[in-house]
Amino acid sequence: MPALAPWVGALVTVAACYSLGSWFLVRLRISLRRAELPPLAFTLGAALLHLIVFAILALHIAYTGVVIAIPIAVAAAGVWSGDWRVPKAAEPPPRRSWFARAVGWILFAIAGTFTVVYIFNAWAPEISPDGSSYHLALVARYLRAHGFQAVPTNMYSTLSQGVELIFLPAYAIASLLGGDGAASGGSAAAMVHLAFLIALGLAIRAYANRMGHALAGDAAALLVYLSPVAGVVGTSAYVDVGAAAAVFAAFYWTQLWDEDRRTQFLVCIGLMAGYAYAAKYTAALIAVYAGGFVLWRSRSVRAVALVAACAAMMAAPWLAKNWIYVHNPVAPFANRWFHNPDLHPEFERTWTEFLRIYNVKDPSTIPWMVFVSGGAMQNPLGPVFLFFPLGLIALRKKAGRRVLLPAVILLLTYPANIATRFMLPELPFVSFAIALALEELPVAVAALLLLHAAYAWPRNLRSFVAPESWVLRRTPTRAALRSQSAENYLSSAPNYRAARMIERVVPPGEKVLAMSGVADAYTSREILVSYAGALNEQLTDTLASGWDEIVRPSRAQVLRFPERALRRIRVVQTAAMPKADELWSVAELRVFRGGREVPRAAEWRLRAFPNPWDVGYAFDNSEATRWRSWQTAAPGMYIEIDFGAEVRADEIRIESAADNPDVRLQLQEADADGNWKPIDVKLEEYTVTPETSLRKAAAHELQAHGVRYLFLHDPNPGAEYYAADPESWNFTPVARADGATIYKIGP
Amino acid sequence: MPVVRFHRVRLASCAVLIAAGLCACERWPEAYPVPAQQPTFEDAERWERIVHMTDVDAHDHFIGDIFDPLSANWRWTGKKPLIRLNAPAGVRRNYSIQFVIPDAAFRVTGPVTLTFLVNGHVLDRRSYSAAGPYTFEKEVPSEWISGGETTLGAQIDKTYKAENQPAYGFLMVAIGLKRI
Repeated sequence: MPALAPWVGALVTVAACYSLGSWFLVRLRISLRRAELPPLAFTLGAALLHLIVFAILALHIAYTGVVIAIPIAVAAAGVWSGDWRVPKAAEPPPRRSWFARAVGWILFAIAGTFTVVYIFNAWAPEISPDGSSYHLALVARYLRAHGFQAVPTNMYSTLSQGVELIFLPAYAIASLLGGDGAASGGSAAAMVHLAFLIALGLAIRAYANRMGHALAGDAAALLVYLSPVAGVVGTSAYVDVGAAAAVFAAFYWTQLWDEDRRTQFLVCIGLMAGYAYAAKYTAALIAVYAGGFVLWRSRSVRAVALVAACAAMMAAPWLAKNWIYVHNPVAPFANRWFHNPDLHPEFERTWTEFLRIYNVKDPSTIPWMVFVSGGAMQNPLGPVFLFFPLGLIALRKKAGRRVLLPAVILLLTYPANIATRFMLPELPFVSFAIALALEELPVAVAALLLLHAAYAWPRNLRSFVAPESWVLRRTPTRAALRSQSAENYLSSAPNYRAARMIERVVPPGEKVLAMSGVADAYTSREILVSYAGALNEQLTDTLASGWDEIVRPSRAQVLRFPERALRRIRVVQTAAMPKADELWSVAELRVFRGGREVPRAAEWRLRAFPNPWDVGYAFDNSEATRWRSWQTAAPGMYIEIDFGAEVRADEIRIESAADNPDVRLQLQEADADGNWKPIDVKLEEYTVTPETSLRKAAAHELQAHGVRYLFLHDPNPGAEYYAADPESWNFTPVARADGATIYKIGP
Repeated sequence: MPVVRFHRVRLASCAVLIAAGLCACERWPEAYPVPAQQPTFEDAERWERIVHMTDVDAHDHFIGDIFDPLSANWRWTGKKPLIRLNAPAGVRRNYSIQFVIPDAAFRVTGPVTLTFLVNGHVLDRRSYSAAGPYTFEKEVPSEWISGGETTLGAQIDKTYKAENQPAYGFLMVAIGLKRI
C-alpha cells in the first residue's frame, strides 16, 4: 500500500479540485470548451478548496476524518451531480497538414515521455529543499495540531500557503494509507503539484487554440513543461508551479471575459488573482494586471470592484491570519511598518538582500545560470529561452500583445528574488510569445522543441548544469514503487539524516535551536533555525556572547551629571549610522548614585523603541543577553525608565558590545508636562571585562526559553568553540554524524 | 441574466472601515516591569580576570596606590599598587601585569626593580634598565590562592616625584590572573 498511497491521496485531492471547480462553473452558468474545462476547473476548484481547508484549520477541526472526508465528498458530489463532465467538442478540430500532424505527434510523444519521468520523480519520497523543510513541515504541523498554529519561530509559516492547503488533504490521506508519514504524504503533495504543472500546460494549449494559434500553443506548453525548472519544481512539494498555474488561469479568465463581458467571468478573474496571492506573494501582481485590464476594457469601476472583492475573498484570510498571529498582515515583509515581536526588520533586510543576489560575486554570470547552468540560481530555464527577444516579434499579433503585457508586469517582482523559479509565473507568457514569433516556421518550432527536450532530458541535463544545481537527474522508479524503501532512498540526503538524528536523540516536545536547516517534515520536534524568527535570532546572539568578542559587552558609556531627582528618563540614540548593519544594542543599563548602583525596583516601568518587547534584556543583570534595536540604529530610538517615584541619581551606565561604535547617546528627562528635555551630562567611556561565565549564562538563557538542544554543522559560526570545550557551556554532545552535532544543554 | 448582482455597497467605505478596524487591533506594549534578575555563573576551571585600568569597575578592585585620573588606558601608581580579586582556589593561574616605565620617570630614577606580589608573597623580582612598555607573567603557586579575596600588586624600588605631585612609581595598564 505505501506505493499506492500517494496516488490515492493525490487523485482524490485533484478530483476534489476539479469537481469543485466544475460545480462552481455550472452554478455561474459558465460553459467552457472541452480543452478548457479541465485546467480551468481544476485551478478554480483548487482556489475554492483552499478556502474550505483554511476554514477547517481556522476552526481547529482538522482531524483526519474531516480532512479526508471533505475532498472525498466534494469529488463524489461532482460525479453524482454530473457537473464534472467534460463537454463534447463543439466543432471538429481544424484540418492540419500532414507535417503539422506529424509535428503534433512528435510533441505529444515528447510530452508523454517527460510525463512518465515527472510522475516517477513526484511519486518518489519527497526530499526537495524547501518542500521537506517547511512546505510539508507546516502541513504536518497543522495536521498534528488539528488547525493553524502560531509558529513565531518559523517565518516561513507567515507566507501565504494557498498551495500547501491543497497538499494537506493529499498528505493526510497518503500518510494514513502509507503508514510512513511524510514519505507517502510528501509524495502525494508532490503529485498534486505535478497536477498543477499539467494543468498549466493544458491551459496554455487551450488558450492558444482559442486564439487560433494551435501550433504556438503546443510549442509554448512544451517550452514550459519541459523547462528544467518547471520539471523539478513541479514534481516537488513546492508552490511555484501552483502559483504560475493560478496566474495563467487569472489571465485566461480576463481574456474569456473580454470576449463577451459576462459578469460571471469577473468573479473567476478575481478568485484566481486572489488565489495567486494566496499561492505566492510575488504572483499577486496578476491582480494588478487583471484589475487594470478590466478597467481599461470596460471603463467600469464597478467591474474592477467586483474583481477586487473576489480577489480579497482569497487573499484576506491570509492577511487576517498574519495579523492575528504576528501582527503583520504581510509578514514576513514590511516589519518596519508593522512592528511585531516575531520578526526583526534586520532579518528582513539581510534576507531580502540575499535574495536579490544569492551571494553571487559576479552579477554578469547570473543570466548564464538562469538560462543554462542553474548554479546559485538553483535551476535553469533552458537555453532556448535565450531566444526570448524573439518574443517581441509577437507584438505584431494581438495574441502576442495580450501575453507580453502580463509578462512585463509579472517580471517586476523578479529582482526581489532572482532564483530561476521566481520566473515561473511569467514563463507561460514568454513561451507563448516566442512560439507566436516562430509559428509560421514549423520546422524552426520543431527544432527548438527538440533542442529543448534534448537539453532537459535528465541524463543529458546532468552534463549541462553546475553540480550544485537542483534539477531532475534520474528517474527513481524503484523508490517510487517502494521496492527501494523510503528510508533507504531518503537516507542519501544529509538534511533527512539530520532530521532523523534529531528525531532519534531529542525527546518529544523538545525544541532544538539549529544553526542550519534540516528536513523538518521528517521530525516532529520543533526546529528553531537561527535566522527564521526573532526568538531564534535572539538566542543565537546570546550564545555568540560566549565565543564572539564583538558580541559580548566590552564597552561602558557612563553619563555623569550633578545629582538630581529623576522620575522618567530616556537614553536616546542620536546618530545616523554609516552602515545598514550597525544596530544599537544595550547589554545592561544601570543607574548609579555616589558610585553605588540604585537597585532596580518593582515599580520601575521600562520601554524601548523599537523592539519594546525585548527591553528586559537591558535590565536582567545578564551580560550574555542584550536588547537590540534589530534594525539599523537611527536617531530617535530610545530606552526609557519610568521610576514610578522620584529617584536620586548622578550617573547612568550603559554597557554594550563593540559592534555599534557609531551610536551616540543623549540622556533626556520628562518634565511635569511629559515633554522630553535633554540633561547635560559628561560622557566617559570605559571597557567592560566580564568576570563570570557568559557561556553558562547563555546556556541558562536558552533553557529559560525551553530550548534544551542545539544542532549545528561544523562550519557553522561558533561550532569550534562548542566542540573544543562543551563543558564550559554546560553542553553535552549527544549525537554526531555527517559533520553535525547535537548538544544537550544543561543537566 | 447575470448571476452576480451588485448591491449598493460602498466598497471604498468598507475598505476604509476594515483597515481602521485592523489598525485598531495593533498591540503596542505599554511598558514592562523589571524582569527577574539573572543569576551569575562561576566557572572556577576557566576563571580569569585581568583588571584593565580602563574597566568601568576598575575602582572596585583598587586597594591603594593607583591614582586618578585615567589617562588613555593607564593610571599612575605609587610605590606599591595593590588590587583585589575574588579568585577561586585550587586552579593554576598566571600572575599577569602590563605596565609602562615612562621616560620622564626613568630619567630621574634610572634603572628600577619591581617586586611582584600575590597575597603578600613575593612571586618574583625583575630589574628594568630602560623606559618602555613591559609585560610580566608567571605562574602563581596554587597554595597561595585559597579562594575568596586575593591581593595582587607590584612594588617599585624607586619613585619619581614631580612638582606638586605625589610620588609616582610607574604607569599601570592592566593587572590580574590569567588562565594557563
